[in-house]
Amino acid sequence: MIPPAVSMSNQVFRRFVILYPADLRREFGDDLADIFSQQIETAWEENAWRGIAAAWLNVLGDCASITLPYVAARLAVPALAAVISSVWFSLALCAINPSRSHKW
Amino acid sequence: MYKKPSPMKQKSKPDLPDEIRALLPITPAVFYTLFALASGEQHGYAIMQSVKGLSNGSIRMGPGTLYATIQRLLKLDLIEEITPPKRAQESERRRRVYRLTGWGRRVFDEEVSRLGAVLRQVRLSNLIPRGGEAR
Repeated sequence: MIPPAVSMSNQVFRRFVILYPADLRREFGDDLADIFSQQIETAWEENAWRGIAAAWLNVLGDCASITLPYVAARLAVPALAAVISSVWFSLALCAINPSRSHKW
Repeated sequence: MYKKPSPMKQKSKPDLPDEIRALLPITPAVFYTLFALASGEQHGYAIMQSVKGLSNGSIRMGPGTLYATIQRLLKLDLIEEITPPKRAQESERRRRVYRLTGWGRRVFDEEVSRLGAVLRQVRLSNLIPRGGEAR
């Protein structure tokens, strides 16, 4: 019989998978859950609750290391576009009405 | 006067495509994944366990790191997915199994040669830390 801690962890992880980048999730979503399931079972057999906690800490770190650079890369272009367009808009405004330039 | 080329400056074989050459030197996650698959085909969990063993526990890949690495290596044609044999059990057949391609083997060999050259240079410079050889 599967221990409740293991089955609960598996259920939580199935929802947690949404935090991984979309293309990785689409291609390997089931594999991610399958691997985690095996990790958590081994962790429970070896160290019970301490093992479960360690496995979750490992997964949290893993998710952050994969997801944060992905999110940063996706946000970089829109953020840069926003900065450039606001600078361009300010310059255009000054060109139209130079008296506004000292009020920056 | 003949000057012996430094092992650090040895060039890779010319036919390695640029996109693969750009990978060198490869990250520890990529290196150990190729290392794990160099001894034969494996599924994801087995790769993860092999990486842990081959690195003496210093590299512990999580599921995301493992599959992000696999995804990248598949795109670069360094590894390929294979169909499990028909005689395998249902649970085994459900798992995706991967193996090195010819390019993957080349990249692994190149990296091993590079690391070997680095180690030779360190030895020549007498910079091996005390007890470093035994590890």
